[in-house]
Amino acid sequence: MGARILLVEGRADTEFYTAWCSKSGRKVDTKPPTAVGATIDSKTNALFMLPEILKQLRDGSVERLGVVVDADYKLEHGLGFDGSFKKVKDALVEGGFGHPTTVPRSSGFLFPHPDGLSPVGLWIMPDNRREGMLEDFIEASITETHELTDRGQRAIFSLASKAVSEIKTPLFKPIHQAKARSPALALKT
Amino acid sequence: MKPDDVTEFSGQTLIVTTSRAEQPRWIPLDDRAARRRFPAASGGDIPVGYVPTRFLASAHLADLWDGVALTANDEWITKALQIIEPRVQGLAFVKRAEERLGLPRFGLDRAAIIKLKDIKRPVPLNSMGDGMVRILPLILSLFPAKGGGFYLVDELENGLHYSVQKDLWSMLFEFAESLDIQVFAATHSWDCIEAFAQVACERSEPSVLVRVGKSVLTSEAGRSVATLFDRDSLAAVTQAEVEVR
Repeated sequence: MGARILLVEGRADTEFYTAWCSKSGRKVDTKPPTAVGATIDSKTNALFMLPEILKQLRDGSVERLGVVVDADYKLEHGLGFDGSFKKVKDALVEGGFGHPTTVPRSSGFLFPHPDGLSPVGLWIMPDNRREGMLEDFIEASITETHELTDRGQRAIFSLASKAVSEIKTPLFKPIHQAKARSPALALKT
Repeated sequence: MKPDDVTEFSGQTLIVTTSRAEQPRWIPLDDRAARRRFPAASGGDIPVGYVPTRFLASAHLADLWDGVALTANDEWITKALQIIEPRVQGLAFVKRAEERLGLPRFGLDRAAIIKLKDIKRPVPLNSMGDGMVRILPLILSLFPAKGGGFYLVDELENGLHYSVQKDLWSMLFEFAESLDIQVFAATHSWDCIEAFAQVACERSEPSVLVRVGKSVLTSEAGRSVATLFDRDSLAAVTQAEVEVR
């Protein structure tokens, strides 16, 4: 049986998605760009290495492939949702895949293959629609996850959010506030 | 598929080009009989060196050595043997002791002997271990391919400890470049692939890893297909141990 690869942007993402997939019982090999040939980890390199992985589908060495990238922000020199989607779609169409089947965006995108390969999945953080990143998805999940309904953890997150918002001279961009707040969600109460 | 119809790497056929022929030559991957006929199929005008997995007769090796002895390429043989045994200073093929003494020959011909540093008498190559016995046909079979030819070797790593395989690849790269030879090596060994990848990434000569597998596309119905890994991909093959076998 071939590899089941989830291509992500970097090492931190790898740890997050590996833990997530493990918790939901999915056997997936989460790989950042450096694990598939890039010299450094980045979204750009994840997209750049995508064709390299696609060509390994033909002989079954890679059996299934999923891609998770951040949409980022156009105003911050990112691709945004549209640009990110187009980059992945173009690579998949070039690799022989069709356009994604019509599914609710909350389920991500599935690119079918007309000649027998498993469809390739795509999720663009945070919600396949808006600009943003993994941390925005995590925050948006707070009310949906059992652990985060815990009152103690909610209290910690509230404190972290307050502390971040009150920083007088932040050394990070406003778009990265979620990155500053979200580590509090990993704390055990 | 006729050779003239083939203009690119199709996945069913390995296309090879050489400065000795105007048209690309072809090695069919799906046709075992045609693969065996490859030297003839290439028209007989392209030099070919071939090292099978089976044992090569001493007489054949002696003939190959005759064409190289005391030429500018002679030193390559010593250099290759030194990968396994650094004390080697020279090689020769001589009549076996049985023959010299008038004893029954059992079909044997000349045997390889080597000169080792600080040892006065020549030493039979066969007494030196599998690595030495294997590397000699590997190096001697290169010479018939010089001048735009092909060097084909099956299971390159046979009998060779993993620790010497990088040195062997370095030598093959150097030799292939200086004598204008295209090297095709088949292997199922990860050690061999890793050694190749390391050397390929360090050197400037064009090199590629070809993984031959069975297509899972419906339209290709399990036919043999090739997946190419160029130098950039080879770095990942080494780092991440991508399954390439």
